[in-house]
Amino acid sequence: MKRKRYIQTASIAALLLLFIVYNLWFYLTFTRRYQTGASEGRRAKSIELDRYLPFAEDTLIVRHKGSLQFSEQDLEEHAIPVIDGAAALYPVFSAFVYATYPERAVSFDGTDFTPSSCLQMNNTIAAYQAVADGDADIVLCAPPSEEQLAYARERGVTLVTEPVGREAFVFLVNENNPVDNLTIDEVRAIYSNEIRNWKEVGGSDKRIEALQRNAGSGSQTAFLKVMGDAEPKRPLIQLPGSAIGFSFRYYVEDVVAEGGVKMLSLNGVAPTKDNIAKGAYPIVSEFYAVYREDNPNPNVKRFVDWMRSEEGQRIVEDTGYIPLE
Amino acid sequence: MSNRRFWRIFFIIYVTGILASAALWGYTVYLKDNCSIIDYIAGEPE
Repeated sequence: MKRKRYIQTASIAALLLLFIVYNLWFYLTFTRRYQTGASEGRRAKSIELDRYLPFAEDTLIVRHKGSLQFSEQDLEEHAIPVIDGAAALYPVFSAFVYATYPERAVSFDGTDFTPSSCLQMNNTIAAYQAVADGDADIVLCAPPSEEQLAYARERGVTLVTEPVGREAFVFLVNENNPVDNLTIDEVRAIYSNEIRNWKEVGGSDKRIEALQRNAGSGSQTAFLKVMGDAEPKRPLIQLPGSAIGFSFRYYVEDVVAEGGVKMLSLNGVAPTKDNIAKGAYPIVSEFYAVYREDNPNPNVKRFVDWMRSEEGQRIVEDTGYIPLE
Repeated sequence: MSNRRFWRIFFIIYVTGILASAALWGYTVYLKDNCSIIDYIAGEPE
């Protein structure tokens, strides 16, 4: 009787302990790391909209007025294009808006742009949906993914993509990671799970935690292009290690401007503006103004042509991106 | 402790434990989807 009671109590205690130890391990290994990375600001919009508002006095955007000017009358007639795009490009298209739109075309409620505002910032995935659905006239983004093209095709929409500037695609590691350079083949091998430890590429003996972004985001689409035929592996929960991720140079250097990460050289070439401009850095991609081919508003094409003109390209360059060749 | 009581306590702890683990898993996947790569890498432990 006493033995039976002992076994029962021990079983309950063991079960309880099992759950406590497992959940504690899971929390300390995974949850806590992601909690650190999912800060409030990033969770909301991945960029602080109010720092780059076109007409705010303390804005961080480049302020040049353009020879193309949309008028109050255009606004009344709903002839000013609604522009949207990727977070990383928001400082550019906000500067385009400052250069050409009347102030009343932009309406910001302190947190987000109001539905009537001609400037929006919904990031790549939602922006592509918005232009296909006709909610936005022009979006500034990385090239569309297969899914985004399919989404437009399903709605009978043909998207026109016109390059507006260039930017380097960069791979990032923690600033304490001793690795400074990878070859493109090594990057592909890391993301294909063929190289799993940093010591295989000259680093310390730590597991490589290869991070990816959501499908359809601009940098994920660019990343898949870099991978070519090599298929990237994507586990549901990564085993912890020392991480590698990717983004666009300007976003890392200027928008986030946060210590703690460093951009890797690729094939021995650092992603500096000079190296990008002279074509030495190996992964430079164009970003595009994207609009519907059947958009009846003539100001859409006028505005895109202006972005590609000398004036528009000066804004691209002064913002920190690389202008078209 | 009667057999019936033992199994009742065992079952309650088991179900509660499974639910807590599932909730923690779900919360972690949610965080992962909202996690900035740059913040994540910057906050890497030594």
